[in-house]
Amino acid sequence: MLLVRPGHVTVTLTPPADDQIPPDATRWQMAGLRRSALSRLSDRLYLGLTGGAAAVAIAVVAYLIWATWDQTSAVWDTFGVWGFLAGREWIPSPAEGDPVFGALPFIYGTLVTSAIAMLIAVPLAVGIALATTVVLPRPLRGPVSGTINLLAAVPSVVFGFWGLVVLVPAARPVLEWVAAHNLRTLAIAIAVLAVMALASSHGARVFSLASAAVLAAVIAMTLWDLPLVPHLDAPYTLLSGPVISGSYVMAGLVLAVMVLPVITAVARGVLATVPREQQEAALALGATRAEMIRHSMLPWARSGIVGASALGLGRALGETIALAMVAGNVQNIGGSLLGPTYSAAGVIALQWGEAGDLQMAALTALGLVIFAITLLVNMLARMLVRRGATGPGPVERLRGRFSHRADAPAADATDVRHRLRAGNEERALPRVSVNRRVRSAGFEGAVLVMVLMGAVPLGLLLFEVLREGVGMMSTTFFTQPQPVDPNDVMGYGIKDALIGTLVLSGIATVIAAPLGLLTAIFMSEGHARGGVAGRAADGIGVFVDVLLGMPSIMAGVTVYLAIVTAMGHFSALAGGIALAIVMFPIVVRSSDEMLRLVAGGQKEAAQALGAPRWRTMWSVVLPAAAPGILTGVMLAIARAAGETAPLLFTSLGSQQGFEGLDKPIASLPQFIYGFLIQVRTDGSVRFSWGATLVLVGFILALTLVARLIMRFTSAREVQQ
Amino acid sequence: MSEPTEANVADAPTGATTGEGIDTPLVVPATGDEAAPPPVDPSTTAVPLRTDALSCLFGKRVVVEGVSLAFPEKTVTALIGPSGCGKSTFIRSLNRMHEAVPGASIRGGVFLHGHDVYSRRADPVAIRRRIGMVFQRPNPFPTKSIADNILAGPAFTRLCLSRGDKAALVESTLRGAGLWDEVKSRLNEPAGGLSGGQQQRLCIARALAVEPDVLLMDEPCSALDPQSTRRIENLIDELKERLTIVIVTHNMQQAARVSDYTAFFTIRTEGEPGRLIETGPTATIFGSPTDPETEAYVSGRFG
Amino acid sequence: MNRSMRTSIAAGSLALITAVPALASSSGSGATFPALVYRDWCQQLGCSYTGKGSSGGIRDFIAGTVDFAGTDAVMTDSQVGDLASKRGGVKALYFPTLLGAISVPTNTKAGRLRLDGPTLGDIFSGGITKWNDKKIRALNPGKALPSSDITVCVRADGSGTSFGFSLYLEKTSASFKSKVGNASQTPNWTAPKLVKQPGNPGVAQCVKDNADSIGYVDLGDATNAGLTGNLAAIGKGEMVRTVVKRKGKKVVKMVRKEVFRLPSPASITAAATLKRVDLSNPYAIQRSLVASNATGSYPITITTFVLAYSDYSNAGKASSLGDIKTFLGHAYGAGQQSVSKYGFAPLPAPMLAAAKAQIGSLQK
Repeated sequence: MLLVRPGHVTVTLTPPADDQIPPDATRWQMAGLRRSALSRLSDRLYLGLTGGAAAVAIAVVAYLIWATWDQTSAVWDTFGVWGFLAGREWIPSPAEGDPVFGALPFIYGTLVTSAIAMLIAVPLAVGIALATTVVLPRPLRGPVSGTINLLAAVPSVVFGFWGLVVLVPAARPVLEWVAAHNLRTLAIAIAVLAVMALASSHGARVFSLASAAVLAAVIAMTLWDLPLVPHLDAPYTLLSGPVISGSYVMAGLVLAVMVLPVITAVARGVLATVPREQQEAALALGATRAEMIRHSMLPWARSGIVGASALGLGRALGETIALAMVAGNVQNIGGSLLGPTYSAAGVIALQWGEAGDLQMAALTALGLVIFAITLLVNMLARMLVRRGATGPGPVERLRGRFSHRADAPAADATDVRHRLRAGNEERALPRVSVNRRVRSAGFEGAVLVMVLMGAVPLGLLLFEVLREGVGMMSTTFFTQPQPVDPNDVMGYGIKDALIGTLVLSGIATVIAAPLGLLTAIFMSEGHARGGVAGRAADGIGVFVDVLLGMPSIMAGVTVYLAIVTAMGHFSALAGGIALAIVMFPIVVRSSDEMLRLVAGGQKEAAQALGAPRWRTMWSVVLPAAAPGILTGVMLAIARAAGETAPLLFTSLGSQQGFEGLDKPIASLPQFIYGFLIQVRTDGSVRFSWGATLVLVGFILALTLVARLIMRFTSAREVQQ
Repeated sequence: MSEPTEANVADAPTGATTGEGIDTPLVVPATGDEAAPPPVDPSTTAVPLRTDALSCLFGKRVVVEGVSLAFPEKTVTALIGPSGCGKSTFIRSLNRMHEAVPGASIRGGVFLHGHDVYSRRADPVAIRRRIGMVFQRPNPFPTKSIADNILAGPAFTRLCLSRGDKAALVESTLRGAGLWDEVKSRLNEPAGGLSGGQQQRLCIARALAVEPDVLLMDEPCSALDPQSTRRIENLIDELKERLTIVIVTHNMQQAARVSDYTAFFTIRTEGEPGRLIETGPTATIFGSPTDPETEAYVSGRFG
Repeated sequence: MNRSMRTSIAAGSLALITAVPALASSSGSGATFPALVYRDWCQQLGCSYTGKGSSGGIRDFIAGTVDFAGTDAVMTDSQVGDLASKRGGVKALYFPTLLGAISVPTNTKAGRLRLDGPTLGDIFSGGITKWNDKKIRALNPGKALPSSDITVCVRADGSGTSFGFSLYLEKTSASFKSKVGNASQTPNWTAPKLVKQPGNPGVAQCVKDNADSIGYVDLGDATNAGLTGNLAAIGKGEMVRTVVKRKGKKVVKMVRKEVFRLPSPASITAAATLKRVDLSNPYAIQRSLVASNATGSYPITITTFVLAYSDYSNAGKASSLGDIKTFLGHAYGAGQQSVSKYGFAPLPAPMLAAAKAQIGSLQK
């Protein structure tokens, strides 16, 4: 008797051959064994549909990237790969002769500014993450980490704007002092960095060390005035003046503030997963809280912290808008860190619009170079993570290795034991040595200082946006068109930009959300099936990771090359597609994670009841994963809505509201950026604060709703 | 050098001198069973650790109430009782791990060599070095190497150890935990790669490496297979030559096998705090308990 | 245009994300020099202008991604060739819209300075690197000039303002012409301490932000940035009516003297001396304005152009022609009145007449 109906494996199994069916089997039993043709067809359709969607999405993006690559051939033909990468001249329109394009100054500028940013941001992020998981008093942890989480969603144009208007003027006197006290400051800076390096650990140290190595190279170059330093007669020192408004340090500072919340939020999430037992293991050995953190929590979280830092570094490398505002935009190799620099993404944003064919190819190639560097960083980080997750990190591996010779006599540890017992007198309570107490207090003090150094500026940013922006809030601000005269902004509003942002995010969502979800479903089914589908799913996963690391300006570049030139004009549709490219990998990743979370027991339960695949997905997995998927989509929208760089060459911007999908359209982030480039008066700055508040409010509202959905649904599940 | 001597035992206030707080029959009439340890005489036996009317609270909820117990030197005391009776909370409060949980607090006192562990001058960090602990689930530091796991505790003391010292300590500690032969060829490999039983013995070794006076074990075998359990029980037998052990266990055979003294905790009705019901030499508790509840529990009729 | 209707259309289409019939409206991009004026006009007409630099505007114009472009620069030969090959053989028609001054703000403790072409040429080409250089001291007797390095703020993006300014330097400074070259949208400045900023407002802000700096921006942006008091008075030779004694008699004579002029609507207008305007040679128009010797004129005066296709059908933009005509009609009508609000001067009569006449030659 066969009582078990075939489960989900039917699709891949051939039906039982006749001779395998017991001779006394009735037609009724046979019907129970076979699924109807319709049912089998539905599963095939389901796989075909999801696989098709995934294939279309991937093919489109792959085509865009290929078309972009294709566009750069002129560069390689003219200068050669090495000639372009190592070229130090970038002269698009020389007085005489042919234009020359060399990428090195921009690669250098991007790497050095990112290194400065990482050196500042990673220790601060780890410090804040530790503070909000263990060090701070309990009631303070929630508000601080909540603020940081919200800030992780704030778009970069806001940081750029804030950096330009608030941070740069505030940092100026400090940097002037630095420039005036060159050597002494260097010593202080090294001391501060040493303290930070002590306080941060393991994974964070890897990134800090890498950044320090880049900076050390810079110091060497400048101190010894290597031939790499161009057109400098006098020997230049690292931090010599004059202090100017755009420089390596300013750019590094703004970048640091920008990536700080991202790294902190991820690092905090990782630290929160350190099991209680791990913490208690250290405490039970007589560790202070600081020692517990260093020996138990940080090693456990190391790989996650490396991953968080890699994410932050990827953002820093690809950042466009903030850097174009505060870098000084002069190609430079070496020179004072207080001097101007030019980032790769920045030069793309500033020169793309006016570039001739070869220059455009060179800019595209530069974008691909940055993309490649980001990929390399991610791969390196992943390697480190994989090697570090299960074993001692590189630092520990270098320290004390033990080897044992088989013939060695048993060691005598009486003396050591004796010394270890030295404090254990019965006359008095045991004490912790002053040395240890000072060290531990020092560590916790350093963590608290980091909270002050990191969280306070971020809190101030939110406060500033609120304080400056609230004054602009009125009905007119939401219902009136953009101002023209920067001295006369009253009575005007951001209606067009707001509508534009809604339209653009809407287009992006309509494209990216379904494609992303279908791709994620295909990946989940592919993994379950294995074979060709499984390998395809793996490939898609890698591809999506690659896309996640793509600098957002590259989305603009690819869409310009493939769509804007084909359509013949800038359009809302092109902008929406560019944003969709930014959203797509985020949606796939978050949906994939959600589907995985559900996949276990519930899915098997449904399949054990004989439900076909699509039904299992539709009526069991999707409903359970829906809140998480929705949250992921909303976070992706929040991310896309704040993007400026992909829109610069696609939707162009407009003074009017929505005029059709094939017409240029305004958007809030671009409006803020454009309005600052266009004009900078008291009125325009105030107006930009207002627009910033609306943009931040819109994005934070999305983020908050996403969080509430998660909290509400997870609370309900707990109740069940 | 800090081995207790007659003189300093006499100095230390013992249950007898403190008086009223102690109501437990530390001196239990001998049962005549040969396996039973000699009755504890506070005037001659050192008691490194005892509690005095100890209550453990989470917020305002009392989980364990009024437990006074003494743990004689170089003996194994088993804490048994049904789930939820507060044994684990009790044992965690002995080395102040209890307070690592937010909102946790105690009333009463815990005395290490007569000094109040919970006094204002006492530092939980230093206390825990003297009173080591092994947890229910093996929790080695997974990313640290096996050797570094052993050296983690000594590293906290900031004692300057030479390379040779470290090697000797690692070896002798691992030998002490009966793990040396299994891991000597892979001391630099991550501890996460060991089997569950090996991990738990590594945790015991790690706790021993700081030379504690007392070792607390909170259901150390509950996550292990029978063979690993037996090895750990053998280890406990060896360790009690050196130090005082308190072990929480659900397994009554284990309590009977490894312990010299047994304390039975129970919780009478839901919501009430757990209480110490009876304590005495293990043979007495399992052979002829005075309390009917103890009898019911050890004979398997409830719990 | 009915705003509320458009809003409701926008809201409705937002819900459906379906294409609505495109409302006839044109978009332009380009020079930031006249951007405030063009945006003002567009606000009234329902079109849209994005300031991104003259070079960007020319590029968009060649690519056909906009309906018109703004530029202060003249298209290079290769740009003209690109336009013809990509847009069906059409040519660009130059419509001058207004006159403007490129002001030279400085930021030193010495306050307003006097500078002239050769000196500026040296500063921007690196011949002069310190404020207390003897050439600057000679122009500014009695001023306490700092000994510090000069930070030079220039445009990061290709710009017609750069074109106009380098045209002026090319004409007045031999050392600039030899080191940097001819007028260009992206001159290869050889000053040692450069800071490049996008857009004229960026340069104005750069001068404001950096001590001991100098830059070049349109008058409107300098005013918006609060730099009016720091604009350099630019020196040039002018024939000045002078009384001289000759043989005991007082004789009035025209003598060439160096005078220093500040930008203002009057000094801008005074620079326009062309009587016959040939719009097919925009380069000549710019050259006639820049470094003008006319009495009372500010020497760094330029005009700015709107680029339109000579043949909109061939350019693939047939539907935009009406909008362009409306835009230009406004520019030469009511629009001329509003330019002075932003620090510009209206077109002189000969240019206005020529421009109006050229509208007629726009082909469907």
